[in-house]
Amino acid sequence: MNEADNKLIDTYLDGNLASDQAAAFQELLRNDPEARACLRRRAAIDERLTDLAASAVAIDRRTSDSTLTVRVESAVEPKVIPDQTARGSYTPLQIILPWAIAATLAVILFVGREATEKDPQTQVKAEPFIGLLVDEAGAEFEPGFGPQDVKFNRGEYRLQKGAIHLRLENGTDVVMGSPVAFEIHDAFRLTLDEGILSAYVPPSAKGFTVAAPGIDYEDLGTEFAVAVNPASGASELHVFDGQVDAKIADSRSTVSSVYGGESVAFAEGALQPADAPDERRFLTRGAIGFLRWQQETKRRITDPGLIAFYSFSGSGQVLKNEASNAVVSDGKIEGARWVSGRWPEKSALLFDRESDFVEIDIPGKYEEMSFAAWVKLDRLDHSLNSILNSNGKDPGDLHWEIAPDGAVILVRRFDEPRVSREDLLTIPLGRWIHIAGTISTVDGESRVYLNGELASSELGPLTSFVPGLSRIGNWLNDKNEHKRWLCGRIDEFAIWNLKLTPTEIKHFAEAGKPNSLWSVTPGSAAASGRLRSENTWSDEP
Amino acid sequence: MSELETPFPMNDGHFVRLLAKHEPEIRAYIRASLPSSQDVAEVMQNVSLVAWNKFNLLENAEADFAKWVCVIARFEIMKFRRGLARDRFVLDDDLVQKLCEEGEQEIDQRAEEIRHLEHCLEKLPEDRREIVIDAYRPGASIKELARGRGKKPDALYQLLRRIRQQLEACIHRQLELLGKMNA
Repeated sequence: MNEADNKLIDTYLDGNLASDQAAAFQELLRNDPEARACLRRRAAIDERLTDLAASAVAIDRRTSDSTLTVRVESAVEPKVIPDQTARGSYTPLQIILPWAIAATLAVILFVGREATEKDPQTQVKAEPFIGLLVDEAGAEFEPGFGPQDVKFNRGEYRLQKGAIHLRLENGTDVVMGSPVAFEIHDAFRLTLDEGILSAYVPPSAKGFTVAAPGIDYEDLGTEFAVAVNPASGASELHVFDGQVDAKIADSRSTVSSVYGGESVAFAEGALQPADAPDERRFLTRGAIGFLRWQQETKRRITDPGLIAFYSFSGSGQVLKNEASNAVVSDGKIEGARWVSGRWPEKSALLFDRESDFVEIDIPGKYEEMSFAAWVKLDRLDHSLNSILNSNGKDPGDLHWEIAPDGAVILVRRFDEPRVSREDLLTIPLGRWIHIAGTISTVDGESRVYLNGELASSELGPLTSFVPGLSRIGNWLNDKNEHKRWLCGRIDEFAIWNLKLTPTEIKHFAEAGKPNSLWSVTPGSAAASGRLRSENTWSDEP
Repeated sequence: MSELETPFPMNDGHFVRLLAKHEPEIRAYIRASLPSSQDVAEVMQNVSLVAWNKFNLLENAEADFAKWVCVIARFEIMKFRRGLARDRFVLDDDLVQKLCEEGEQEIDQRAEEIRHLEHCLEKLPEDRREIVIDAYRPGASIKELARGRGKKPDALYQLLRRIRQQLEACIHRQLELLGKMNA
């Protein structure tokens, strides 16, 4: 294939093939298998970029943290439905459908409905739906007034407990906390009979209307909240960003245009300006993640295999071990400072100096152990950067560290031979990551997981683990000659006296994710570190 | 028992998971035979419906899903082409058949490529990544994009082409490196 052939393929994919080029193009494809292969490769790139850009647009409308990196990474979210066979019990509603699946199915099902109407021979097995549940925390609906699995269709819904994040097929996100009663008419109209909802409306859903008794609040592409008092029928509208028109329900005449930062109240037929709301009344999409985490934490701490669980919820100098079977001591905080964690409501500890660490005592001898933490790294300054280290370096010690290229290493054997090691994924900087590890003398394997995916595994003889006094975020060694303090935040840390399964680890990562749109694809080990120079872009415009 | 405690229907959940997992490579497979991405969206919707409808007939869904959907897609592509306006350029039947046949054999490889594309995209300098994403946004116009960036449309088009070539080369390099590592 020459440059002209290459160009022909690109021109075809760009939709710019002139009629006098068509014959030559088809001839090329007919005679040259490499040209056909090239077309398929480039078609894949073209299609995926189209998909990512469309997703980026959708996410751009929804996220305030809208750096392009985040948008692109969110768009390539791994699509995972947790396996329900994991240890511990969790309800079907904890099946969290990532937004991409929601969007895909919404399209399929809506087209499905249309196709069924147009073509009687087309049979659609499932009911179509108008919205999908993309996240929830302890949600319970009144019997007969709940969604079908995760699907919302036209009809009335009554949420009695918990909170939900619903996505309508036009891209509108609606977040509600109980008690709330509402009716979905279609993707552009919802009646709120009781309770409070927050709506995040993309431009594609301009005109989305929340109807309250006597009044319609019609969105013009923005973020707002509506509250309805079921006893009096009075309602409030709070516009956080953009513009919402308040219209009298019967006449549809606009009474007032309400702009970002403004609030109005409607009662007894009159619309009045209202005071700025207490924003804590309104759930955000992130708040659902925090609630979900709190509920998951309550369940998890009763696991008898869990010997330490630090939720980082406190303050002061003690990091409380909240596990029911708390074998490990409380943590003694030295230097590390309290900062915000995955959610504004949650605390984390910031480690960024040589003097920063949390000391814990892990008494006993173990044949198997597992660890998990939520971390957000700022830098990887040292040849090894500590997550958790036994003080000193004796056989049976624990050493869980991160190499400068982001590879996570669990148990470095100072004097024992390494049989094999394989790094698949590396930890990125600046993002909340679920990092977990398992070690076992039974099978001689140590494994590390990032965001629930296997990141590395290592085989080799392992002696029983006797961690003893250890430090989170630092390492105390004999001569204090190795600088290995962590530069970043930790807001959860757990230790088990058993080897967790991959399914369990995936579940913990899903259950603690910052929000339903959160996703970080860990880096490929092949693309980082020693190979990084081969991936440098050099063709500047 | 609340209504929501009803078990999640396995077939729907299973189908959703598999479709979500394999959708990128299936779309890529369709794209090679059709003139535009809008056409892909339309065919993909039909394909998804048919696949959903027939999902119960698929025996080894985990292993065969992507290839099975490709067979459905091939039929839908041929059907779709017949409905296109005569003034639109479409590939001849024999070529579409050939592209599909070969594409089905490459479906696993395609999934790998797409996975690496996402990593390669992350590696692009931010301004280039922005250009690509902006250029592929729904309704984007190269002309307007060029004007916004103070470039001539032709120059921007050439730059886009170069970026795509870089992405393609990066994917190739990554696969090669992984191949070496696994050797």
